Amino acid sequence: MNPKLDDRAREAARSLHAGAVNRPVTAAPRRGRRRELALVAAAIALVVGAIAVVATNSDDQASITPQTRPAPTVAPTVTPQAPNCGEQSAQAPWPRTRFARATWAEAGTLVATFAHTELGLPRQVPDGPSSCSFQIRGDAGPMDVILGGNETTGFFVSWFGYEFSLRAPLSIQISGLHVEVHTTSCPGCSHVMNITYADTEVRLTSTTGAFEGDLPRRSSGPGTIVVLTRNARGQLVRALGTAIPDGNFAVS
Amino acid sequence: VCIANDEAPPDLTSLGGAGDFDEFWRLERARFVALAAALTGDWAAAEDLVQDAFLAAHRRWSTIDNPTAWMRRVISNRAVSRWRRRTREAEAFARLANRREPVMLEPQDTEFWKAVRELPRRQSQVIALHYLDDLSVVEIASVLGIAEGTVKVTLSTGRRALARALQCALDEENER
Repeated sequence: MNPKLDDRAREAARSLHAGAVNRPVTAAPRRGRRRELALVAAAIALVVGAIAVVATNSDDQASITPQTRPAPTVAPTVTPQAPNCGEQSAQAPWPRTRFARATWAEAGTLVATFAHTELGLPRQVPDGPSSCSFQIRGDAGPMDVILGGNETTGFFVSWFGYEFSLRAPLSIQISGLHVEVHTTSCPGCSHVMNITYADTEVRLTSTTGAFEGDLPRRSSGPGTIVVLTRNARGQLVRALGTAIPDGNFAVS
Repeated sequence: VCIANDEAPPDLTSLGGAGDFDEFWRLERARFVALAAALTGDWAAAEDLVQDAFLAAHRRWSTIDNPTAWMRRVISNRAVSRWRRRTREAEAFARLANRREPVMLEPQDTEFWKAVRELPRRQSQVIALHYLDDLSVVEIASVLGIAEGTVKVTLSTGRRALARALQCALDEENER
């Protein structure tokens, strides 16, 4: 006798719900991949680094202080010192966040280090600054992602571009290995980043102001650039774009 | 049709304040992932899809009257559309396609959801909402923004097709 469809559907639904509930929020890279995939995964896993650049001089010239990468820890509760941000918590995890750590640098800027994602790209960056949305424009057009934040929910960071709300205009100009960030809400706040490539990570360092950035580089294909900085009001500015292995950025 | 979960879903229709978003996410995320997984057949894609739907909801939070229904609609539509293929994400997935993580369930359950995904787009949506979230015809119509009559026909057609594909018997009394 054939089973009844509804009985079978019931079991299939129960199974799927159980599977969804039991999915880990933070999944470790799995073993047993084929060699070439393992190599890719290994490269990806090492991809992302973070630096903190703290503006210490009175003339707003930044001293650049790359941070050593500590062992992954639970995201701490932090109190940024930037104005208008209030007390915030770097809260992890959102789903699928391969989140290693989040600390606040001395200037109140968030340093987030991502351990790994399946594609080596950051998915979400938990933090909690004030709500802010920005427009990102590159020389070749708008950058493909910018995020909004919320004091309650923290930040969503999507890893590829989708629609985004635009409030405080900001522009990013990309030329060769330099990136300039301008916020119209903060005239004169211009951050020029030098981009250097290492074997496993790309660093953006500011020469003109407080800045921090993560730029993962993939072994092939596009990666994602994550730019984190703050404008004069202490709002966290994020941008994601596409990094390509030849040392340039592609914006779309 | 039985409810898949032992507990009835909480009433989130009154949510809408920014402060409720976290609670909404906490309560509903797994249910949405299940729906997305049923329609995509891939955990990673499902979680990405749900995350992006949450992102979209977050941006419209103050304007969404019924976030659960809104999310179901977004997930249902995006899961069966070629939404992901329009993104550059697809390029990366294409290169690393065999790194994807298919939904692994018991073989008979895997077969069931595979058969659901092989139905025409609207049928798969209706079937998934019907069986997975135990939604009524009225609720499915509301979620998908289609007429109740359309839901009834689609559900009936889909169930018959599913029964044929899976060689199952239909219990006509369960059609709602």
